[in-house]
Amino acid sequence: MTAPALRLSGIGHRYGSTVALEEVSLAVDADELVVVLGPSGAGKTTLLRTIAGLELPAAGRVELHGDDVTRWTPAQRDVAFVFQNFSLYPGWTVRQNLAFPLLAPARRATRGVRAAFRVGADTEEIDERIDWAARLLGIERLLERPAELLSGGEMQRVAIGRAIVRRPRLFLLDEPLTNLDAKLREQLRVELVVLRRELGIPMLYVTHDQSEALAMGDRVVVLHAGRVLQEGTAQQVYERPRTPKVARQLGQPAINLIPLRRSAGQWCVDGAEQVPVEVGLRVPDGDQLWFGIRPEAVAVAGGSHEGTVRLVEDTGPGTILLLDWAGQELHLLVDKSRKWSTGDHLAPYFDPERALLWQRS
Amino acid sequence: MSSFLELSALRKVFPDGTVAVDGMDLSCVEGEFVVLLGPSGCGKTTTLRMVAGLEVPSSGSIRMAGEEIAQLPPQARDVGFVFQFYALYPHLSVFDNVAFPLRSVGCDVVQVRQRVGEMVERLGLEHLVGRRPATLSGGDQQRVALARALVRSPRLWLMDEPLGTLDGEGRLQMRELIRRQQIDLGITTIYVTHDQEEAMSLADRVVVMEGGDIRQIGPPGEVYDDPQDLFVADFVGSPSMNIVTGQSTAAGLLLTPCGVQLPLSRPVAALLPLSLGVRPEAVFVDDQGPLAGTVVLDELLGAHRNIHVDTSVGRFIMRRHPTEGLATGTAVTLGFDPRRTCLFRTDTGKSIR
Repeated sequence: MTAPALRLSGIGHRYGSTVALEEVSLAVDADELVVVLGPSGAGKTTLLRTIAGLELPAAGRVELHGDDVTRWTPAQRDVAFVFQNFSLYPGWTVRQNLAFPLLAPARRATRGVRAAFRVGADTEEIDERIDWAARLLGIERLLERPAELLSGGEMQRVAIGRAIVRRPRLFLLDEPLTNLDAKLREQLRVELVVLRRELGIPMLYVTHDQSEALAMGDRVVVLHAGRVLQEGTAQQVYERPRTPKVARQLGQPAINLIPLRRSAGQWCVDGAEQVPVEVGLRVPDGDQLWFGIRPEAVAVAGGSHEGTVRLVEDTGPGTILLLDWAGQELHLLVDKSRKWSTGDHLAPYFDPERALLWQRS
Repeated sequence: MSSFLELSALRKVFPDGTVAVDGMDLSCVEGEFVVLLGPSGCGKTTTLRMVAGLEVPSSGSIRMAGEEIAQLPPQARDVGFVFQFYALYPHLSVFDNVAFPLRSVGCDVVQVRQRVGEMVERLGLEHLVGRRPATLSGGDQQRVALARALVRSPRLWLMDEPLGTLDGEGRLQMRELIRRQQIDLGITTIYVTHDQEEAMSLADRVVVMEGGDIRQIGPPGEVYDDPQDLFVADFVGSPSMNIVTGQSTAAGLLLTPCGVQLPLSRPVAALLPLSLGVRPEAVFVDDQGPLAGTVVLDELLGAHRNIHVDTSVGRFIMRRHPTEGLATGTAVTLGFDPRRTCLFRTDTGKSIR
């Protein structure tokens, strides 16, 4: 077995008395895209900065391809970092921006970048690399344009180009699509995954966007308040979230969480004891449960208790219904075979096979 | 039903000559939720600002309840303008936060108490009125922000991307709260966004704009299923409609430049330059289908998958059930139901019906 491209073991980090990361362990394999999903403040950026060498962790070890790099400088680590805010040098052309990472660090420091461009030694190889990256990203026609004249999407393509041009050993991406329009975000998301696979370079991608996590990740790591709550393939985490908190992080609309209480041997909605709920056979201990059911798993008929449709939201291929039911607000994701209106009544049915149960205290 | 708000031949040319809104006609009935949707620069915000009185139209009229208001100052129009659900004042209680907009327009104590009382009850915040924002959950803070933004009941609400930077679940919750408030209070609302998902989910009718013009007006389902031009077809829907270009043949087929023949939903004169549009959910795996290709990407999105297939006519996206994944590199043949396709003339971009 070869060592993973990245292995974090027990990483801890604090800012003053605030815990930013605690006992974070994860690995990224040689040809893998791992997404770290978490809300703002979860510690995602600190994690990336620790891997890049911009932060020294208070505890734990960072290994790249089997080397303990915890105390290496950023330059020694050979990782490429793409930020949320496009960081191109204004006044430089796209070509110059792409060339920058290829110039020897010493030359950048001692002679200034403009001088470095005039040095002829390895320009042929640099040009080759730039043309290759530009072709991959479809930005050939932008090469001679000044960076400040680019659109947001073009800038972010160039920023990604700058990361791939020197073929690093690991990509670190920090919400690179967040500031883009919805359409563009979707398009670049697809391009990034395909591109990474073609390059065969491992990637750690952090985001707060659940759809990016699901769509992109070979594996997803759910981070919350500095801790890893769960990791697995997108499908595993979506279908078998370990806690209600993880369950609500993936899927939109979010999973319905219905509080249940056992009374007289039967499970009922807490606060609406006249409404029994079928829970199946594998029930955790205790007399109180969270009953989790995804919006797409709720049937619009077959239940014993009626609710009222409060909102009907068109998604294009389907419809989201917001239902007032037994004192709860439920989301249903339904197809368009029937036209729903506000005020309609329906008796939702929850297939116990598709429900998730957790102890509730 | 008669129209409550009526824009006629509304036009705005900025001093530098930019035509921001180019002769817009729009009529809304009372209580309607209308969303102006388009990319940046399409004229949606300028339109909204003219209705609010923050921009003076270059020409055209704006009538509200029969009265011409285009030349009235903003404060004489009785419209509520919501830019964004701003952060709450941390030093004020929930009650005082919600009361703020009322006090700043000079409502008396009794009115303030009554209006704030109604609003907090409606949003289930009664038990929190004495609390400071910092002690509330994120969800409750959002409800308070909404209560403050909507506590006045003007004749018209104008909202300009009010969900701003909210993300994920908070965004969906806020969107639903806005819509429920609007339905309950019956206030006619014009809402501006570039996010087609938001537009589709909120609107009674969507107005798709581009380059200062209206491209299409209709209920979300109509705009989605029957786009009037290629711009709307591409802009509405996520992912966008799959588009194949070619030429009609005498046999009633679409012939692509690479020689693929596709069935058409309706008879079309021969030799027309055509674009055929198919939504991802109308594409399926079909061994007898006309499009051979290779899977390049399979994206799981929770309740469904988007499978990206490279075919000889370009990249096709197919929406499938989450259990129907396809590995990258799989060879597939795709088909679609011709009745669920849209047809456009490639030269004009207009749909053929």
